[in-house]
This record gives sequence, C-alpha cells and structure tokens, in this order.
Amino acid sequence: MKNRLIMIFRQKKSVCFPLSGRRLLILLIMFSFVRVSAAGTFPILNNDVSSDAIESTKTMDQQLITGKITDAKGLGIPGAAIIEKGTSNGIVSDVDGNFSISPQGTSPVLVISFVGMITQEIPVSGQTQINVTLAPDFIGIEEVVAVGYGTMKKSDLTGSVYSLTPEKIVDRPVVNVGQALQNKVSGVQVIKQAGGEPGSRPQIRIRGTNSINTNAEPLFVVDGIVGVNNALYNINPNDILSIDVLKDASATAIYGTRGANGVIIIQTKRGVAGDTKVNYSGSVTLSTMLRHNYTVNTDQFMYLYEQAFTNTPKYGTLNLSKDFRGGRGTGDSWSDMPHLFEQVPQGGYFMDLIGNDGKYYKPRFYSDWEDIAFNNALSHDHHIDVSGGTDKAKLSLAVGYTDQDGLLMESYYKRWNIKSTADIKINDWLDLSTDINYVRSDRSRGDDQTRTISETWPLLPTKYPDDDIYGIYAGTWSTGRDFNVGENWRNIAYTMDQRDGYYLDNQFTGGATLNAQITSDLSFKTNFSVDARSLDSRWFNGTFQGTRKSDANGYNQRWFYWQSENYFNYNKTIGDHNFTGLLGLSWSENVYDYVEARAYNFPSDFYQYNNLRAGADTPQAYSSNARSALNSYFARFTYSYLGKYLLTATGRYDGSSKFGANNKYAFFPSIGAGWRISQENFMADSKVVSNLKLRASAGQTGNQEIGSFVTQQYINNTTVMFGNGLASALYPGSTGNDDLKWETTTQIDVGIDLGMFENRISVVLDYYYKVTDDMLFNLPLPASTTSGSAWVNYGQVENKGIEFELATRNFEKKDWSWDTRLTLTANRNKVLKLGPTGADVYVDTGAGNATSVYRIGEPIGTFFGLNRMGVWSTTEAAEAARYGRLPGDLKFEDVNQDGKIELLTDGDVIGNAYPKIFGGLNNSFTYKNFDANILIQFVGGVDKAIVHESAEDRQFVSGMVNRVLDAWRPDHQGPEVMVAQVRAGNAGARYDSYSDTHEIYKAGYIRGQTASIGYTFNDKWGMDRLRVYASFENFFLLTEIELEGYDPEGSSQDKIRSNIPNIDKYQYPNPTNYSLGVNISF
Amino acid sequence: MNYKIKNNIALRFTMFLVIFLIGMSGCENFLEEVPTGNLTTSANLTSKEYGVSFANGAYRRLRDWTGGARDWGNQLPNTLEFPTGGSYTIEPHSQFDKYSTNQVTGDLLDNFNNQWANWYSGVQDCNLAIKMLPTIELTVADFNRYDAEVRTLRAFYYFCIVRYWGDAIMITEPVTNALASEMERTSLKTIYDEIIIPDLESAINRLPAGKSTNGHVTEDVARAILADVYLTVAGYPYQEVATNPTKNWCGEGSWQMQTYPVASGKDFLKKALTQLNALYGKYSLGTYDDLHNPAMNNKGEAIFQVQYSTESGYNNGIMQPSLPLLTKISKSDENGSFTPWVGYYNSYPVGDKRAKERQFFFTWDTNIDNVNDTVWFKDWPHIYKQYVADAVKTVNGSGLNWTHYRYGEILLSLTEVNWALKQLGESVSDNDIVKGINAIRARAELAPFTAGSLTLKDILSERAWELVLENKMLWDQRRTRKCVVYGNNEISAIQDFIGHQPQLFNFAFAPMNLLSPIPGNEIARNGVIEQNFGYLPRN
Repeated sequence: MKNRLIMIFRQKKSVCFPLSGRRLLILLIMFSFVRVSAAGTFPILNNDVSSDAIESTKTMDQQLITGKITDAKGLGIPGAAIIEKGTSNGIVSDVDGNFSISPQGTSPVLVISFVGMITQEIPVSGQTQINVTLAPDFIGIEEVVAVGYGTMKKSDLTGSVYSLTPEKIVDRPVVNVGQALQNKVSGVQVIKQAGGEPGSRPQIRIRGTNSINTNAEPLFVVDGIVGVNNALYNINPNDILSIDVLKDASATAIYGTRGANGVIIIQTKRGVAGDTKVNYSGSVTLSTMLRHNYTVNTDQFMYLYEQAFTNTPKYGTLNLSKDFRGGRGTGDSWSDMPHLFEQVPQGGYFMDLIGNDGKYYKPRFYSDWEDIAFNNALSHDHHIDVSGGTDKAKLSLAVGYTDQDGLLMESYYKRWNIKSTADIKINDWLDLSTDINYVRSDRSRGDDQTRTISETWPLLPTKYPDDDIYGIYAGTWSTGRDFNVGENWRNIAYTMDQRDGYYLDNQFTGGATLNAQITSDLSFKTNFSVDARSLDSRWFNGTFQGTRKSDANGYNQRWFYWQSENYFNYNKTIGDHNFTGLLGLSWSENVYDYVEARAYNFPSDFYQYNNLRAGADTPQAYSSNARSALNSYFARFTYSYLGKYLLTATGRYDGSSKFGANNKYAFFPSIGAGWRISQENFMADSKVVSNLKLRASAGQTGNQEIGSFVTQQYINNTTVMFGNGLASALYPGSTGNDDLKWETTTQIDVGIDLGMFENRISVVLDYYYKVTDDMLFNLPLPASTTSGSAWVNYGQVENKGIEFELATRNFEKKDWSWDTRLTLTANRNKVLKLGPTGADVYVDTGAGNATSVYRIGEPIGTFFGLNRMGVWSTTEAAEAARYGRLPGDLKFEDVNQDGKIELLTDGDVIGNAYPKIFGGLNNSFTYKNFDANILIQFVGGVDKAIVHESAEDRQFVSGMVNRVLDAWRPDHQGPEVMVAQVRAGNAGARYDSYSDTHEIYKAGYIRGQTASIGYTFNDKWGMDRLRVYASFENFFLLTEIELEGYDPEGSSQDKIRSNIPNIDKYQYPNPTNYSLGVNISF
Repeated sequence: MNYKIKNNIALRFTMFLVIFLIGMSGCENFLEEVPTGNLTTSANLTSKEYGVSFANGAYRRLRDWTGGARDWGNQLPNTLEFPTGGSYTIEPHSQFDKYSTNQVTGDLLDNFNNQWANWYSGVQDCNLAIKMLPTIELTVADFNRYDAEVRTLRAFYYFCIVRYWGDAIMITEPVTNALASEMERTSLKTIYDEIIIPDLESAINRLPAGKSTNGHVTEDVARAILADVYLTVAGYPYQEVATNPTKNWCGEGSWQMQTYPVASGKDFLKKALTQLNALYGKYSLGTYDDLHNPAMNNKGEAIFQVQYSTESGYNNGIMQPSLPLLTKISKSDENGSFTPWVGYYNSYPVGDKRAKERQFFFTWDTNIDNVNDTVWFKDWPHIYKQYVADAVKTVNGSGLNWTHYRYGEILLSLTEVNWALKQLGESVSDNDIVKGINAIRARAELAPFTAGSLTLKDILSERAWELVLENKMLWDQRRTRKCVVYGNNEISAIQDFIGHQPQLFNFAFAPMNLLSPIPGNEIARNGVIEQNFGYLPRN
C-alpha cells in the first residue's frame, strides 16, 4: 500500500504538485480512517450487525416463515435469494428449493429472485408458509445492467443498453471481445478488419461513424477503468462476466467527452462466497482455407508470355528484336536459363519454346505460391479460474493462454492473461475491491506478404536445388529477376527467411475501489486505477542474398494511465417514488513515451535485431513523449413512480488538455424517459402483452479522440547533410489552433421494448438520429502555404438508423427448447458540412489504391473512381486515338468529353464501404444435455474495393491473377472484357490504373459464422459439470456476386483506414475453423 | 447508542464530503499542454545555436531533388527530363507514356505534387528562418550571413517554382492561420522582381566569399544562381509577361513570342554577364570522371551541389533509375528510367569525347554475379554521370552530390550571354563570346568555334550535349522557346518551341506545354487557385 502511494505521488509530482499533495491527503485520510475502524478502536461500531439492522430489531416481530421456490416445471430452485425488502435480512434456498426466514420488519415483504427468473415480491401478511413459482425471464428484464458509475435493473432503464452475459460470450472459442460481440447486438458493427490475421484488431462501430478523422471506436470501461487501452484484443473473453453496450445519449452522456462513439462496459468475473470453484475451459482449433485467389499456373503463364511479346511490338521503346530484355544474368534464350528451363523433345511441351541452340524447352517449376504460403493451422486455448471465499473476503484467480496459429506461414498470436480479484469486507459498511490484471501478447510482425503470393512467377521455385545444373543459382532463393522480365520480386519463403519481427504487448491494469455505505441510502465510492501498457517491436530485414542493406529496428511505446474517480450514490424510496442520485468527479492522466533505434548495414544476418551496434551505418534514434489529461464532474438523477414512469437525467462537465487554450471545458447533458405501459392497470391483465415499455432520450456527447498537442504550433527539428557532416536544423511544423474544441454529437433515440406471451416473444426496436457538429477535422491545407493540415472544428455528419431485435422462445418443453434471436441494424450516414469551402476531401488518389472521398451529401466510406467501360475495340480505334490509346487499351468514361481521362475530373462516387443493413440470426437448441447453436451473419448493401490491379495490369512485371486469361484479344472483345490486352512489361494496361468501377464489387454476404454442438455431464467423474463441444466457425459463405478476394469482410493490412473499411489489396484470408473444446467445473 | 450511531453516520458523511470537496478543487495547470518533444513557436529561441539551426532548416528540402515520385523507378529528376522529349525509359512506363501522348494532368501519380510540396515547403522553411533570425542573439556578421544564405535558398526554390509553373503563391512569412491558407497566385514577374532578384542581389555581399566547400551557400553560389536568374528573365516567360504585366498569362495561355534573344532583356543580360564574369576563371574543368566521383563532391568544377552521402537516408536517389533495367549489373535496383533517348545520344558529333564509352554514357558493364561476364546494352546507352562504382557494385547507396551549378554551365552561359548581347547590338569581343564554349569543346576534344560563325544552334547544341540529364534542358526550352532537333551525329536544327514535335512524342508542343500542371492535391485544397491553361484538374 505504501509503495502504491509513493508511486501515485511520484506520478503526479512531475505534472502538478499541489494536486498530488491533495490527492495524497485524501488517500491518507481514507486509509487512516480505515485502519482505525478496522482495528475496532472506533468505539461506536458494532462489527457484526449493520447499524440499520440494530435500529429495526427494536420492533421486530420474529416469526419463522418457510416455503419452497420452484420453477414452471415444479422443480425446486436451489440458490434462489429470499430477501426481506428494505433490509439486509436474507437467505438462499437449499438444494431442493426450500427456505426459511424470520422477517424483522413490521409488515415484511419478501423479494424472491433467481438468475434468469422474473423476481417476485410477496407481502408476508401473516403467512408462515410461502411457496413461490418463478417464471423464466427469457428476455432478461430482471437483469442488472451496468450503466456508467453504477448498475440499474434493465426494467428501469430509459436508455438504449444491451447486455451480454457470459453464456453468450464463450459458447465457442473466441479470441477477443470483438469476435464475441459480432452479430450479437443490434447497432453494433464489428468488422474483422484485417481478415483472418492472428491477433488483428477488429473494428467496432456503434451506430455508425460520427467523425472523419478521429478514432470512432467506442469507449471501453473495464472494471471501472475508463478507456482501457487495447481492451478490444487484450481481454480474454473467458474472464468476462458481462458486457454492456451503451448506445444512446441517455446512457453514454455520463462519459461526456468520450461517450459519442458509444460505450462498452465490461465486468470481469469475481469471486463468489461459498465453496471454492474451479473451472477449466480448453479448446483446440484447426483452421483451414476454403477460398482461393487464383493465379495463373506455369503453363498459363508461358502461354500469356508468348502472347504478350507477340502483341508488344506496337509499343514504345522495347527492343523489338528479341523477347528478352534481361542481361546475361538471366540469359537471352530458354537455352541460357537452365535454372528455369529443361530440355524436352520436340512436342514435349504444349507450346514450342525453342532455344538459341535450336532445341526445345519447357519450364522446370510449377509453384503454387498460395499453397506454399498458406497451411492449415492449429490453435489452442486454455483458461482456468479458481474462485471462492467467505462473505468477508471473496477471491478469484484466473489464468488464460491462447496460442493462435495463422494460415500464412510464420504468422501467430500468443497471449497470456492473469487476473486476480479480491472483495474484502473491511467492516459492515466499508468494502474494498481490488483487481490485478496482467496481459502479455506476442504477435508476428509480417508485412504485407499476401501480395507477394499473387505476384510471384509460378515458374520460380522457392529455392533452387543445390545442383550444378542451376549454375550460379544453385542453392539460392529465387526472385523475379531470375526470369528475364519483371521486378525484383522475392518469393514469400525467401522473404520470410530474410525478415523477422514481432510485437510484444505487456499490459498491467489494476486498481482498488473503496465503497463506503454511509447510510442505507447513501454510499460513497472512491477508485484509483492504473493502466500501464507497453508495446515493443523488433524488426529485421536481411540482405536478401546481398541485394540490399540489411536493417533492423526496435521500438518501445509506453502508456501510463491513471484515474481517480470519486462519487456519491444515493437511493431513496418514499412511498411510490424512487429516487437515485449520483454525483462524482474524476481526474485522469495519460502519459505516452516512445523510443526507437534503427541500424543499417550489418556485417551478417546473424545479429538480426539483437545487436543494433553491429550496423555499420550511423544508427538512428528517435523518441517522443506526449501527455493528456482529463478532469470531469458528473451527475445523474433518476426518478421512477411506481416503476411505471421513469426519468433519467445526466450531465458531465469535462475538461481535456487536448483542446485549445480557449476551449478546455464543455458540458454534456442528457435526459431520458420511460413509460412501462405494461404496468398500467389497463394492461396488467393482458394475456398477450407481458412487457411493454416506451423509451425516449436526447442528449449530447463529445469526442476528443485526437492526439495530444495537436493545437500547438510546432517548430520541428531534423538533420541536414553538409559536406562536413550532419547538422541540426529547424523548420516549421504544424499549424496550430488555439480554438480547437470538442466534437459534439447530439442524439435522440426512441425505443420500444415489447414482450408477449409471458415474454416468449420479445422485441426491441429503436430509432436514433445523431448529428455530429464541430467535427474534429484534420483539414487538408494547401501544401503551398502550410505543412499540410490542421485540426479544426469543421463539418457535420449525420447518422440515423433503426435497430431491431427479436427474441423468441419457440419451444420450451421438459427436455428440449429452441430459442431464436434476430438482430438487424440499418444505419444511414451522411456528411452534411465539410471544411470552410465544402470542398471534397480525397483519400488515396494514387494508382493502386481504392480512392475514397468525403463529400457533402455522401456517406463516410464512399469509394470514388472512374467508370471503366471495358477495353477499346478494334472498331473504336479512331475514338481511342483521341486518348492516345489503341484497341486493346483500357477504356474509361470521359465524363466531360474533353478528350482526357483524369481521375478527379472524370471520376464519381462508385460505392460505399459501409453496409446498408447487417445482422445476425442465432438459433439455440437444447435437448436433454445436448446444446446446439447456429449463428448466421448477414451483411447487405455494401461495396468492397478489391484492388488486385497490380496482378492484372502489370502482367509481365510480376505475377498475375488468372483473370488475365480473359484479357482482350482481337478475337475476344466485347463489353464484358475488362482486362486490357496482354503485353510485355508495363505495356499491358500501360499503368492505366485508376481507382475505378472494375475494382468495386457488391459485397453483400451471408456467412455461417458459428455452428456448435455440445453435451453436458453433470456430477460425473468428480466434476460438477463437464461440457464437451465441437464448433465450426465460418462454415459457409455465400456472396452476393463472385468475389476475386478471399473474403468480403475486412481490409488488407496496408489498407486499413480508420473510417474506410473493405479495401482488399491482397487481404489475409479468413479461415474456416473446426474446434473441439471442454468446459469443466469442479 | 442512538446518538452515537447518528453521529457515526454524520461523521462518515462529513469525512467523504470533505474528501470530495478537496478533490473538486483542481489545479490550474492540470489541463495545460506542455509539449516536451518539440519546440513550439512560443518557446524561447533567442540563443545563437537556434540561429544556426534555422539557417540549416532552409537547406532541408534540397535533398529531395532526387527523391521519389511514388512510382517504381521514377524519381523527381525524371519528371524534369521527360517533358523535354530528350529522355525516356527503357521500360515502357505509364508516366513517360503520358508525357509522350500529352496526357499529363495535375494528378499524374504524385510527381508534380512532390515537386510542388518540396519547393514550396523550402520557401516556408526559409520564411520561418527569415522571421526568426532577427529575434536571435547573433552578431551582425552572423545575422547577415545566415539571412543571406536563407534568402539565396528561398530565391532558388522560387526560381524553380516559377520556371515550372509560372505564377506562384507569394508568401514571405509563415502562414499561421489555417483558415487563411488558401491563396491565389501572383504574377511570375512580381515573384522575380520582389523576391528572387532582390534577395539574391542583397545576399551576394553578405555571404562568405568564394567557393562552397561543404554545400553551404557562399557568394559564388549566389552568383551562379543570380546569373541563371538574369539569363532566364532576359528570356521567357518574363519578357512576354512584361509586355502586359496585368494580363492573366498563365490562366489564358496566350503565349506567342518566340524570338531569341529578346531585345527587351538586354539589361538583364548585362547583369548576368557581371555575375558570370565574377565566376570566370575561378574554377577549372576537370575530367568527366570527376562528375561521378563522390571524392570530388564540392570540388573541381562544382559550384552548388545538393549534399549526399552513403549514410542511410542521405543517398542520392537517382543512381538506380539511371542503370539499365534489370540487367544484373548492380546489387540493387536497376530501373532504366533516367535514360537519354537513344536519338539524343546519337546526336553527339563524331569524335565527341563525351559520347565515348564511360565518359557521359556507358553501354556495358559486368554481371554482378560474374565479373567475367559482360552485359551489353549497346542499343540503349545509359547515362554514366550518376554511375558510382561503389554504389553500383555494393548495396551502400550513392553518396554522389547532385550538381545544380558547375563551372561547365557557367562557361556555356557566358558564351550565350556574350553572344546574345552582341546580337542585340552591344559590342563584345570575339574572345569573350567563344572562350566559354571553346573550353567545353576542348575538353570534349572537338574543334573550337569562331565568334563570327557561332549560332544559337551551336550554343544550344553544346548545352544539350554538355548538360545532358542535369535537369537543365527543360529550363532551356522554356526560357529560349527553342528546341533542338536530334539528328545523326548532329543537332540538325533548332525549332521554335510552339509547334516543335519531339521525335518521341505523338504531338507538337503548344503554348500549354510551356508550363506544367498544378498538382491535383493543391487544386483540391486551395479553392482559389487557378490551374494553368490547358490542364486538369481545375477548380
């Protein structure tokens, strides 16, 4: 404890001494008080009975009440809670559901509750035998859900909150929270951003994208720590007790400036009083690849090669006298390239390749690079937790290990999680809860090798056999230069041999919370937590058989976040009126440090990144530091009358260091109201409607997800080379902005919760409308006058949408049940204002990209490009000539008919990366001890940019996809032909590569996301419970049209844009997984 | 007991309230931003070392001269050679294809964008230094020197800008308001008259005298630039703009004057002569090998060079593009994109030493994997001026400086200026006319010219041969509006720019080709800028 205090003190000292003094004082007061009271020297305290209870014992009329709690089938429910309302007097039903209790009040009311059942309140009214049948709560109306800084019963909510329980999270092997959430919650879009790459980070959007340039990810609150770094993939889903997704302003405004993108509150599992429990979950997963990206094989390649050189003489500066442009290293003829071609008798190959020696040849190698690069992968996952304790001290410890192997050679992800919690009752009014979490993950650092797979010649081997016939190539790795055309393209096995690197993520999160029950109505919580993370990376890039300088680097990124949150909670029922109140304040600070060292020109590949001093060139070093801080005050008030009329008001006054000196603080209010119509008398007896609630809310939230120090006007430094060495230099950096302020999102939400036939059918329907103003916009500025961009508050974005959830319990019989859950989301996004002139903002206009545009009236994620009309036909030669083109060249629509093709002038909107509708359909079945589950994912009204142009129009620069076989020929022309005539070198499409309609695919799909079947043994072999299961992930995929890529979902690694998903420039394939697993409880 | 319990609750509440209230009162500077890794404009920057650093900042962008154009094998020097019609790529390359078919737009990959950003950001670097230097505690001598260095460089960046795009955005101090950063262009004549010429003129006397031995600007450097500036403004487009300075020449593209020399430019020619004479005789011509020998960086005939080294990150980027495509003569990439057109090569006179093997060009080299194996590329001679043996045969990168001005060019300009003055009626001695060009010809082992028979074609031919692939030909075409016609062992003619069709191109030059298109990015971001006549995209 002392150490921690010192740490806090040190941490603060550098920033703000007065505050640290104050904070220290608070903690000292608190801890001294705790010590005093715990030692029992506080004379007025009675240790065992709560003071409220003491008061009430005076008038108690003790009478023992007995009874039995049963379910609808008449089976006793063990472990149900029977509590006398308004007191701490309570008991738990025994193994048969029996209980006995002595009420203490004058007119006691018993509250009987059990997880998954609808709570009942029964006035004792003199009865001594009370038997209760609890009805199942299919829709979780009784669930207590987490809201910011507290919990609420779902029935009391006025906001749009979705709660996910552990059974729904870990019913199959999931590696991260994003996967657990995908298709489970309406309004929440989860995109496997980097396809199937192990350890990659999913993208999550709640109710659309609010902002162009900032991170639109939701805020993660994990065990009270607000904004946990990297929660999305560092948390082990097995550790999660509940996930609550806060969607509307009534729910999120309490998080003020960090609430605009929605909030995901994660509670992890904690110890429970009672017998010590041990749980183990384990699974083994085999990943395979079912979809292919077909490239030409060697014979197709040779055929195209001959075609290309027959076609090429029309063009430019190529040497027309011979096929081969290469030097002697590659030879002038088939006969000069024994490393690639072997002699055959005449007619021994499907085409005649005649060498300079007059003999016949054929290629030696037939490499299928996709086959070489991708392999089935075996992953496994283990998680064990131990928990238990007494009423005074509840403890838990969990250890998890995930070892995920990727389809691509040498790609992996490994993660270790350790977590421990303690909940200690210091005395009858003071509780202490602590959390300690440590995560370490190790991930392969590959660069975009997926492109290499499509663009390596099929006629190359990975490595030449060490045999004399291969001459100087014997025993060496192959590259594109070994054949006589094309780039120095190194095959993937070669590249993997020469490169090595990893990312190592270490994260410690933890904290302590003191909860003081000041009176039965009023409590005070104080929390101090830290989130310390470091990300290390190492990278080595070898000499590639002496063709480049080797280089290596290592960097470390370090974040340290602390928060201190203090708040009062008040809860009072007066008659039919219930009030709750929350008043709190928070301080937090985030410090970031970065250091990197690079070295070049190593004498040997031996050192890799382990000895940077071995590099011969002057090593380079970099470091940087940033800090941001928040200071906030927040309050919430709720009122409910008879549980029918509900009102919630929240407000947060937030100050952030990230904004300009003139705009540090802002206020974010919200209000929500609910009407539980089903509680009204006229509905109470309805046989059809069992639950009906109308909700409406409005409010504002903010967004501050920009970097630190962006309002500053910098003078940057660099080094300049002079004849006598390097000298330091200064030059203008950023164009600052002292007026930069919050981005504000105003949101209204109306929703209806409907339960019918005892809630066997339940519907949740929400409509929302959001407008984001003063958008944090990284305004692109003219390069002529500035360094390129500045953060300004410009622009407006609108999101509106409908969320629909339908849950039905189709069958509920003694031995079997069938549940269906459907979620549907439709979001419409539109840019309303943009920049001072409203000018379009283009992203990635260069060739080989998927260009996108931010344009007023169009949604975020809009693809932009030319209209590819096909290929100029022989009859259009005259028209083609107007563009300097020949028949066989690509034909684009010249929108303004000026005789020039120009991307920005002739281009237009050609697609959108966000779906119009998406959702999931989940069916679960149980039969006796069997359980089964099928989750179908569907996404519609979306486009994907599959930018495989580099393997299509640079035909003899590097390898090619087999679409090229369908290229234009004089005898094969027509509107359906989209690939230019094959020609040597870049002559094919003459790099007429633009972002265009040819690369845009309709990318709607239906995916069999998961199917699982399990069997549970109870009380067998010394185990309380043993469930074995098999699950299949990604077990089918139906796409709207045939796609050239591996998967409709996600982007390739180098095209991951924070707000423009679905750009595939050779994406990592999404595997199909077969898993076997067990869940065991002792 | 009751009393005590209530007291207890009151005490608890009071205690937590006190804690809460203490927490309420924050501290003033908790939300203040204090950047630690970078200086801000509000930092105290008055000490002397900052002065040196600001002055150095002005050199920052010079290194990008041989930087990449975001396309395999295309570097920025290519973009200054392709438009002349004298250079091509061995690989049929889309960018070159667009030049040769007149399909160039402001969005041609990022080529123009990079030049635009590099040169303008050079201007911005200089502007910051010019603003800050007076606030720094410097001796008068130091201030004068740094200020003059920076102004010389700003003049150089602007000189590139106006030659490439014509009218320019005129900024002489840092732009601090993001919302006031969109600006219109100012007449190129104003940029010359108010920035380039006065800055250079005022710099010359404040700079350290003599040669630059390490890349820093000296008096000689400023004189070389100023001489070129005078020679350029004595020609086009300055002299045509001067006929009607208020007309929107670049937007309308109504260029028509084609006579060279221009009579109205005589005064500038005289001023050029003064600067050239000041340099004449101070340097000597070495061997052609010196031109690609890193050991001769800043030595020999070098006057103003961009400084490179073999250090990673400071390499000259044009060497790999100048090697024949994929011939395996080098350890590293061979792009074959910075290559004189074979017709250009064939125009060298019989006996010209420059055209001989391994002088300015080479047609063979040894296989990198086998020194006994000779790789020939006779049909496509490649430029040898960037060939650094150590860099070709290892992976260390070229540390050869890029030459902006060398004595050879000064000699040729001296001849041109003297010749032009004589054409315009000044009395000039025969020796003054031919002394420059004949020194060049002597080194090339060609017969000397006599003043009486010397023609503009001779002068421009000699420049084309001597300065091949030194990024000079585009400027020559534009300032003289004359183009050479490559023949067999001769430059067969000079033609007017407008109407000239390079043999490599499928179109004849029109007035629009006298300027280059403004990058698409700038058009998209700067709502008030006007595109040059004939080009896309437009605002």
